[in-house]
Amino acid sequence: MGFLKKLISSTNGDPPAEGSVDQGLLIFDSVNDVIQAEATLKRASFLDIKVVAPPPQYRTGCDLAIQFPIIERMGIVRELDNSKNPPRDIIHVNEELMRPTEICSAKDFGQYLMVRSANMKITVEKETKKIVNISGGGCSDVPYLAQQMIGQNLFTAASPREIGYTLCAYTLEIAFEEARRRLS
Amino acid sequence: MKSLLLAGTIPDTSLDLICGAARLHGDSITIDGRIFPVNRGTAAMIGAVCSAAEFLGASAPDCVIGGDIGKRAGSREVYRHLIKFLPKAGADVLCLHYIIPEIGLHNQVLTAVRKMKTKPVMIADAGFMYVAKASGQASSYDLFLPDIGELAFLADEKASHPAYTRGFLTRLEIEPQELIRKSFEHGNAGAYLCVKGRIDYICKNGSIIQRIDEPVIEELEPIGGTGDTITGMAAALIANGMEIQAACAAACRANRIAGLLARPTPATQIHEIIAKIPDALDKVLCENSGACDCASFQGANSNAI
Repeated sequence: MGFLKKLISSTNGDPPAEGSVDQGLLIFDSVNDVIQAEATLKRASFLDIKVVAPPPQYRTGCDLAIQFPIIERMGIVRELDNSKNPPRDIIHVNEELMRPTEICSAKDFGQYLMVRSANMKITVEKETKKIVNISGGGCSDVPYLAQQMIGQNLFTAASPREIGYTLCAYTLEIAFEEARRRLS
Repeated sequence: MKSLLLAGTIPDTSLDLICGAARLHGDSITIDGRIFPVNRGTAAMIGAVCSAAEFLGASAPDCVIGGDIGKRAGSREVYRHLIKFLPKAGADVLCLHYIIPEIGLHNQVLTAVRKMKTKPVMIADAGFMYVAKASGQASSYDLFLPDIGELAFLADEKASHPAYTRGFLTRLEIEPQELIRKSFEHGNAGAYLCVKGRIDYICKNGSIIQRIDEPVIEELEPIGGTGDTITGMAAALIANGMEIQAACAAACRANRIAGLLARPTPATQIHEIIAKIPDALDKVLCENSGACDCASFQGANSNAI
């Protein structure tokens, strides 16, 4: 348990609202570590976790964290330790943290379907299910994801969650999953 | 012609950092002997700058490029190079593009800019625009070029990245004025905004001063890099002496015409659009001269307010 870090209040030290479940926050070094940790914890049936923005003092500009019921701390930390992806820090939070958008919109181009989530768009040829374009975003892995995914079949391509590293990849994953849902 | 420095990242894992003049050759660019495909992102922006500069008879732009597929190392090389060399650099126009946002390093870049003999025209798009806003330093910039989704991010005072933007994207195309005003009032926009979308909006100090809405090419929206080409053309035109508003308006209009000439589908790739930039700029600059007798491209070119 050497990586068990300090448990601190992230904001003004006020106790959590009465009746609420105490929440902890797992801080990692990269968005990709968060994506992997989220997958690990969901596989292990820790279903009350959610990905959120870290509080301001932990932000670099492109980051995610995992919020969890503090009562599950021991099991969660053990699971992440076993997966060789321990958090850099664990803190106590008592504020509402922002969550990544999950809103998608779609535009039909006849032969093609474009799905958008926040700043990311993916376009698929409906008949062949071939990914024909990826646009938007500003983090460095967006052109990389486009290189890897364009020309691939939507249902067999590696997902942004698997090969991306940033919040843009996380957002593209949402559009990617929505495109799969609409074209399945 | 003013000197223009472009900075960003390209997804090449064999590259740490490369600096030098860029040249466009068909669907690729070369920098210091290395060849990179123009697929989207910073490579597309550079491709558009090169194409526009060649058309304008200007010299090739200088570049600082890190190799980065999202693991941060290449982005950090770019930040560190700018921090070290900008105080001694003579760039008149600085165009900052795809990068992993890192607030601390970004703020050091701004410190380096303040040490330059003459403050350059500061243009930010993509990751550099995200980190400029997240750091609370957006007002240090002269021009941001968001798309409509990124505009919602600039307007959301709490969002540190577009992924956290609140609100409905479906309303954005209808009512961008409020978001433009909020972006500026919260100090989250540069002096000028060029909002790229179905209608392009040129804004100054929180107000829309010009709209560009023709020709309408619906197929441009899904094509990766069509925002990057506007940024590249605007940067090239500003470096060529054009005022920011006029440069943005010409770039937006030329992008639409280049799209029209390329006869795109949603599967078109950006190098096919870049190939049409010289013809598109020729048309737009002719229109702007007031003595143009070229055939019309779908009606009026823009609406200054």
